[in-house]
Amino acid sequence: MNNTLTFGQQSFMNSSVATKQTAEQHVTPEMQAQEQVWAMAAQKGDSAAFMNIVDAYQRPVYNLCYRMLGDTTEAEDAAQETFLRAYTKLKTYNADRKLSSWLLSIASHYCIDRLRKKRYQMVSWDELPPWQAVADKKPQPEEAALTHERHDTVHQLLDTLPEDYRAATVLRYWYEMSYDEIAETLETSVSAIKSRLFRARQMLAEAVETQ
Amino acid sequence: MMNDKYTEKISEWFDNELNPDEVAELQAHLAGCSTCRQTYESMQHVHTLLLGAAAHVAAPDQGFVQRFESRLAWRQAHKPWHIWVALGALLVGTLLFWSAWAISGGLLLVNAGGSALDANVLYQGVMIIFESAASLRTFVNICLLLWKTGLFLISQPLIWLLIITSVCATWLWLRILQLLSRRPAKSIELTL
Repeated sequence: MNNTLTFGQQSFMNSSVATKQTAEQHVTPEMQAQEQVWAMAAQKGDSAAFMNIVDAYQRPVYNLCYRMLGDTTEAEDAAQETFLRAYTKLKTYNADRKLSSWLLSIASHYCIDRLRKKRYQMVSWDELPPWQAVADKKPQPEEAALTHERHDTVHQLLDTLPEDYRAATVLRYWYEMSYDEIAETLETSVSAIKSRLFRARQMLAEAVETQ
Repeated sequence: MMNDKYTEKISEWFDNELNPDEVAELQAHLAGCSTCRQTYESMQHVHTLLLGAAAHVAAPDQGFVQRFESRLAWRQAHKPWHIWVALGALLVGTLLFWSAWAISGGLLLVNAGGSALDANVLYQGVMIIFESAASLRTFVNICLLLWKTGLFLISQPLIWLLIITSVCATWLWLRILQLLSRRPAKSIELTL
């Protein structure tokens, strides 16, 4: 991603790129082996093993949900729902696939569905599950850190994108996924991803100009 | 004039998806095309913004795993099929209850006193319910009907079976209401 784009007298190298941490933590072969052990144990009904997976992947999954939905409360709910779905679909998990990719795929699809439904309906507070109401009452240090960011330029820009475009953009920038990986995660073709990222950048550039 | 071929290439360039030859070709085009260069610059601005934002990875509040465990336990205890089974049982129980009522009424009407439940008896039983509903205008009449029905039911094993089924259906209803009313209580437990 740290592309040095030199054109004329201008250098567009972004120095922060080289040092930034990606949302998807660097997974060593040992960690990957450990995750496969957890996944296999969880598939056999070991709930403690699944909790280890939740613990290991709570941050990348939550981050994806937050970038997609733009709200800490919704992100918490979506991340929890992602792991619930993963738990119920454990039997379908194929060990050949990276566990992180599988979880992010579930999270992406869930967030896309949620955003689509959100366009047509408003959720009443009475319909929110109890844990969500509780989460609202508790002090949220992370929320304080993110409050200023919620309405920042990037979030406003991401909000202008269609759900599919937003997912591709988030996976590309926050997870540094290749076209192949994004296509696998979103279960579509590489050409579709290429097109979505191109269109997303075009739309974002237009949105920036109108701001 | 903007060339879509090259604007798409600009996007791929940002993603390191171009080979050196393609990069060289794109750079040569940008040098001579002001429209594409403008597109490049606006996309570059967006690219920089996103890279800056991507440096921050959001994390959930502490206790995420514990909250997930609570949620999983709640979900497992409230599987949707429980509700459907309960509603199905309730429906069957309710139908059986009213059937028992109708049958007993019919048997009372013809004073059969036996266990033969032919179509004619059933028909008369159903009819008495509707006729009674129309004609019973006083509380005393309703009580009288209930009393006579009760006396008859005691002597009928089949009716007892139907009553027990109805009681079970009622119990299931109460259980459903109990489960539904527990939801806010659960939130209180979680705050402790």
